[in-house]
Amino acid sequence: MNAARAVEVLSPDPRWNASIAEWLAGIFAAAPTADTVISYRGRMGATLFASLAQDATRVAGARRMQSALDIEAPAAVLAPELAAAFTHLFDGVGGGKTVPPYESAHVGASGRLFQAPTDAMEKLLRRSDLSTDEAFREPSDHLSIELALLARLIRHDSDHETQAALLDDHLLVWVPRFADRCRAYDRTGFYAGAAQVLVAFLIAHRASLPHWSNQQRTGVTPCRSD
Amino acid sequence: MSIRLSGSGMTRRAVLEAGLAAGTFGLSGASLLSSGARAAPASASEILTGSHWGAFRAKVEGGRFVGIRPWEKDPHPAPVLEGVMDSVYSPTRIKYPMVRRAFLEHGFGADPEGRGDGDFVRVTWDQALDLVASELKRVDQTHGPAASFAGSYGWKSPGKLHNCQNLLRRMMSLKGGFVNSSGDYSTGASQVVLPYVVGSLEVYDQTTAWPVVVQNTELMVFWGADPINNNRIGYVIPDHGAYVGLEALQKKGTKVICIDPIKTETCSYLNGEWLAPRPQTDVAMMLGIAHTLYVEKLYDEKFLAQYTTGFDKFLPYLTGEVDGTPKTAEWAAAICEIPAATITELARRFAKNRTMLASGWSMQRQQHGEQVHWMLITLASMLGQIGLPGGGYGLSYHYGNGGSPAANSPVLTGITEGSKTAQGPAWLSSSGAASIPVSRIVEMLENPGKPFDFNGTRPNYPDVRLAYWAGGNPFAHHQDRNRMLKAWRHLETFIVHDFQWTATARHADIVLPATTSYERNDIEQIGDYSLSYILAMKKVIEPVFEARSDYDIFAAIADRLGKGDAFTQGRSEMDWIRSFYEAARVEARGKGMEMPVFEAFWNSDDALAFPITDEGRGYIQHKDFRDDPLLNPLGTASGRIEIYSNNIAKMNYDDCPPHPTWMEPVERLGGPDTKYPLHIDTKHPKYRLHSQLCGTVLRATYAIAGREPCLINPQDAAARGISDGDIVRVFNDRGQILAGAHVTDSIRPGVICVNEGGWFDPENAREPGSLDRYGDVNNLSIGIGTSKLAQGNCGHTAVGDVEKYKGRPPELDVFREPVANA
Repeated sequence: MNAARAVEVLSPDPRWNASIAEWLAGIFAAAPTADTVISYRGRMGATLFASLAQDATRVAGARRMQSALDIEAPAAVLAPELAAAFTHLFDGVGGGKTVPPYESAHVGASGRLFQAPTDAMEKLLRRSDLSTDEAFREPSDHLSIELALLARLIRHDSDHETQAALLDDHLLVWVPRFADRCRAYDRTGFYAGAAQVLVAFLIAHRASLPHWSNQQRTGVTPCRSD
Repeated sequence: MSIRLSGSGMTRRAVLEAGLAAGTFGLSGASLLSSGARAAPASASEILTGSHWGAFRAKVEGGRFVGIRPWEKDPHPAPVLEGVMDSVYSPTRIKYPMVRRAFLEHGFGADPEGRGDGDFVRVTWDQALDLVASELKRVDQTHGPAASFAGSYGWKSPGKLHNCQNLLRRMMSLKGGFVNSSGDYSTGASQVVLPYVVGSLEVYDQTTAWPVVVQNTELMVFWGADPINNNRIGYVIPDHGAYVGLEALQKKGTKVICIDPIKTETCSYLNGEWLAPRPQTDVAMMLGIAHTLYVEKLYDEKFLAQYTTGFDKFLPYLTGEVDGTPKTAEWAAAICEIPAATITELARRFAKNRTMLASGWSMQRQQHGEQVHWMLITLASMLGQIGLPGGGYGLSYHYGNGGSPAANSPVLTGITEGSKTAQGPAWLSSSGAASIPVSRIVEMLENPGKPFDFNGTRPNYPDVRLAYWAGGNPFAHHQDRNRMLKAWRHLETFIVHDFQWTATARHADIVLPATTSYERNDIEQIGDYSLSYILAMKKVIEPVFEARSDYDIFAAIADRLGKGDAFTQGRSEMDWIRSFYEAARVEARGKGMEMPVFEAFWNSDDALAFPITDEGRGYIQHKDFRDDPLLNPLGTASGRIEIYSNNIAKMNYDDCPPHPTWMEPVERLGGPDTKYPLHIDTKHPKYRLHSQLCGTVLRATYAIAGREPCLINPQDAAARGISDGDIVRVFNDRGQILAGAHVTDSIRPGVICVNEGGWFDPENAREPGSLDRYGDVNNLSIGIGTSKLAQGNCGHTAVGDVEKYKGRPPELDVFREPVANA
């Protein structure tokens, strides 16, 4: 190995940012399996967290996730622990300590799911000629769908206007609140940390896009998938 | 612009990207989206369907349920419809099949104390169904069919196909038997004793129609009944016809007396006189009235001679000849706290006027509950007005909109539970390997194999290891919550279907997400007694998350047990619905009515109406019997009203004598051995159906300091330093709850009231007796049977005390408050 420290410059690389967005989408879609925990604890995981930690805004969240994964327990024991935490946080069983991963729950006065944000997301997906996969039985304003759409747009480095809209009108409106509740109620630290990384990522990505006001955003050009 | 790793052909980033894409770190967001847009949704539409609160039109936009308005033909819509919509999309919706982690990791019987902790793991439907089927088989093979309990009591949802309790038992019958339950928590005592008294269940029989009451009744007595409150709900889809009758009664200005510890909505609406005896003393009060009728010769000797038996055996008890205690108005006054002069005056007024004694069911949900309606009917017999227009008694004016004139309509059948089992003791129910009185479930778990007395029989409790619940919330409706928590630990496996994370679902080992009525098709009638419409309950939205209908869930389980075809009979959901309709159509034709063809019915934008008949409008209960008691005898041994029952005498029960009798309950306000100073009353809540809709926005309309309200008289509040809006702790030896104080003189001193159905939310689910934070009143009620006769539930037998809660009020876990308000 080279004696010089390998310094990686954080370039605004669309593929990297898309990968991060896709990874975060996955975190909030389903709990990790034992195999995934093993990957996190291995070299790839170390590299991932090291890369995240190079960004000052993400280091706290990344470290929190790592601590949650590095506890003294076999992967086969930790994975169900994280699955139970996932269920408790995101699947309604936590009662007052539930953190619904849906925009509707955080923006409407009623707290009901399937509200107007679901409709708005459906429109954005249609415009991009995309739809939620049949096997993912969640409304379109699920955090993972909003992130997956963002990732898709970033990966094709296209349609910065829609990316900005997705952030300004949706993700940045509610995810900070969502992240606060994750930090308050996640007893493992894994999801609290992921939420921290997520907020930092969204803010940074928005900053990298041109600053349009609502008036300036006249229409959106559809993103064509490969 | 990144530095290459020496010796590697890829950057670290590229390696990571490849890893992320390959799923090294789990699911990737990329897999969540597919190419190709979904078709734009249809424009907005309205769909007619129904619920326990009435029929309504649901507005659908973009495949979402976005608005709700009452059916235009509902004469008095319930105020809860917004909550109905809320329940579909609540954040406490059960989204996926779930298994309790300890159960999944260590199998059945693992850490039963941990139930209620909320420690669940999501599984696939296949995993869940395989697990359920294997558990059912295991328990059957190891312990036999009488080790699985499928009594599954609760109010479920209306609908003739998606009757989840019948569907559960249908599957269990095919499996090879189960333990069933008999009776219900509504009329547990009365439905067992009244067949001996009047030869029918009586409590679910049509009462004299409202038009007859309005025309003829001169004195309307609501004894422990609040029809304005309780008629909002219906077991099928309510027609709200009682409100038409009540409005007419109000306009006429008929004299109304309300006997109740609380000045009810009904009392206010009808400008009624309010009499508030001590709770649980009504039999004594009735005896005092009866005694007055007797000594003042105001009773109808001829009626008693012609239509009843046993008055001669009851009389020595009434006069005190047999026990040295004449049941005078003074004697009664000392027990019930209504002045003797009022009691004697009531007797005179009842006798002088055409009087309708309309009783609710709360009084029979107490120890010795069998005595209450028996004594009421005895009193009505002494008054001699039974079978006359607007006279006598009625036990369902407060329920199912009883008195709403009946239509000429066919019976709409539904999915059945399945066939009889071939062998077993004489007391077998129609299906099941064994049966228990429904509210003795805790005793069953505590005493497997031990004998118990019930209605003249002495069966043994089965040894139950598995319970399967659908359409019910026993961790709301059952009494003595803490005793129940301990007893529940005897179960190895507890399986629950629901659509919201109720306390029962949180207590399960396996939780299966069911659809609401609005995510499936069904068919139902409107009007519990009137049966005046047939309604197509059309699907409003597609099932959300991974919810499945109970029908589909049980069919899949039956399939794994090798009985799939027997369960479904090869029929789809619509096939079944059509078959019920067609059967009704055949019957209707026999009655001279031609119902439209099924397609026309299903595609119509309205419910199918049946004509209300003159006979229905003019119905007088027991008129036929009165007109000709020989040709139209009652279904009793003698054919008459049995004030004294030989059958019950033969049973020799110390807690159920052969004629109406006053007996001191184990505890009551002012009771000789009673430790606590207050009676804890509970009534049906306005904005819920028991516990249904507690987890919705409606709670904001009534919760006080976020808790279930506790009504308390100003006198009792002042003595305890409690002010309106305070958080209070209500307690007795059985448990403790928090509630929000509502100080009002609408409740008599000595009584507090916390409505039933509040969701159980213990501070520490592992510790029976820990503080319930929201206000589930059944932490305080007693879990004994009414007597050896009926073994009904005693939800209204509870005494306790209340104090202002000191310290920081604990946060609630069981609901999720909307984030915007948090």
